[in-house]
Amino acid sequence: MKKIEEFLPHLSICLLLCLAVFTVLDGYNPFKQWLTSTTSKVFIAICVVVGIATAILLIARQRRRKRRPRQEPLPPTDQNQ
Amino acid sequence: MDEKKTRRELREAQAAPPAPARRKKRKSVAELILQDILLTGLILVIFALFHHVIPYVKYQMTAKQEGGIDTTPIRPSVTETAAPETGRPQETEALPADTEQPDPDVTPEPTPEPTPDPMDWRTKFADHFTEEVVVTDHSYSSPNIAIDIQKYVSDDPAPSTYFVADIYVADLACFQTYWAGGSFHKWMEEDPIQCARNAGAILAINGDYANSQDYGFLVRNGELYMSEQTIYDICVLYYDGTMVTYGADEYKVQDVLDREPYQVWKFGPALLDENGQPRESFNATGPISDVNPRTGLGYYEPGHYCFVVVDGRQGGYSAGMRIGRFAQLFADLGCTAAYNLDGGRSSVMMFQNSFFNHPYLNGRNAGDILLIREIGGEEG
Repeated sequence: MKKIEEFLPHLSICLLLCLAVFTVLDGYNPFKQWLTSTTSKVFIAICVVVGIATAILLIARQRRRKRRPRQEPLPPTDQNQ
Repeated sequence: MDEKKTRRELREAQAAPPAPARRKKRKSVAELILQDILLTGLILVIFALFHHVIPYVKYQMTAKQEGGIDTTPIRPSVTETAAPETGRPQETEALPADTEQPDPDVTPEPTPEPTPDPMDWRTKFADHFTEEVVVTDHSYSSPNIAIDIQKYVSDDPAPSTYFVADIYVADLACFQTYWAGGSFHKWMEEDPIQCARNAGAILAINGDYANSQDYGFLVRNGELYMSEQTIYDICVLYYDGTMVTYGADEYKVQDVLDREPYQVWKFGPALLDENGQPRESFNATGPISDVNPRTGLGYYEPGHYCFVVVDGRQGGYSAGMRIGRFAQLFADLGCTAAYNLDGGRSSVMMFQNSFFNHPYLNGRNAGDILLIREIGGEEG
């Protein structure tokens, strides 16, 4: 699980970089169907799933951190001693 | 003293994270970026495999097995339309009321004047056709076809060289399209000169590369290949010889099919409005609208068309044209409808099996071409 948690943000970045590339290419040559072919639609669906999964894991981690009990503060040091 | 030592140890123990048995080396930022770039490249390769390579191989194999995709003829009985008979009897129209009163004693025989057949282009454009085939380096004429190609140079606003082929046909069957490889196969490409030669073309230009897509509205030589509404403007050449361009939201597929289309192209944008003036806005993205080599199809009236090719991306010779300037060119030529086809390196005009224009980087393989040819295997 921890491995997935570490890997997903990287995968999100990579997929979205690819999507940015396809968006630019589509602007130049929409007839190549960079964003409208069946493969592209599957790709976009994967982007969506990975994006949502990354967001959910991030939220879960934040909640875990908040829920974790604070450590006991150290007793104050006596400067005179 | 002991208590002090204990506190320090406790603080140090809290500050320092617990040392794992085998501590993993943390990657540097540069390594992480490199790793992400490599992963991005890998994803792009996988995408290209599924988006380009596998469909191409699949369609090539299907093409070999089946010899093309299924099509539906728009006019099942028509293969090559026969030349219309000249001067055949027509239904008479009501004659306008004469100012002179007819003699009541004489009842003249009604002698209806034959109305000229609107499809009789051979008679209508007789001045342009010749009895024999006459070929020059820039023109061709025969009993069925008259082509005259002119080269123009313009400096407004950038230097551009373009070629206008003025075309008259006596029969719509002279105006055809040809798929690379002879029949529709997705991704099939062929040298445009070879396409023109195989099709027996006298004059040809590159088409709309429609076989690179697997959806849309597509009719070629009266065969229906696909019938889906798209986000692109279309150009329809009907069997009666009229050519109409439609914006993406200006037509219904069934309405067009009901009028019997002979050709439907899907690239665009449509260049002129219903008054023959350049459209106020074009259904094209920024890069497509920019200065580029261009190919376009113009329409004057049934039987009279023009092919226009603009050279571009070639220094001081010709930069190309923006889409608005291209539309203005068709309006200046007097066309009533005009349509932009595939451009850039694809823009080619071929006359008598050789390039007439000067294509950017010698052109590239084409998916389809538009051509003018003699019908019935005659060729000049």
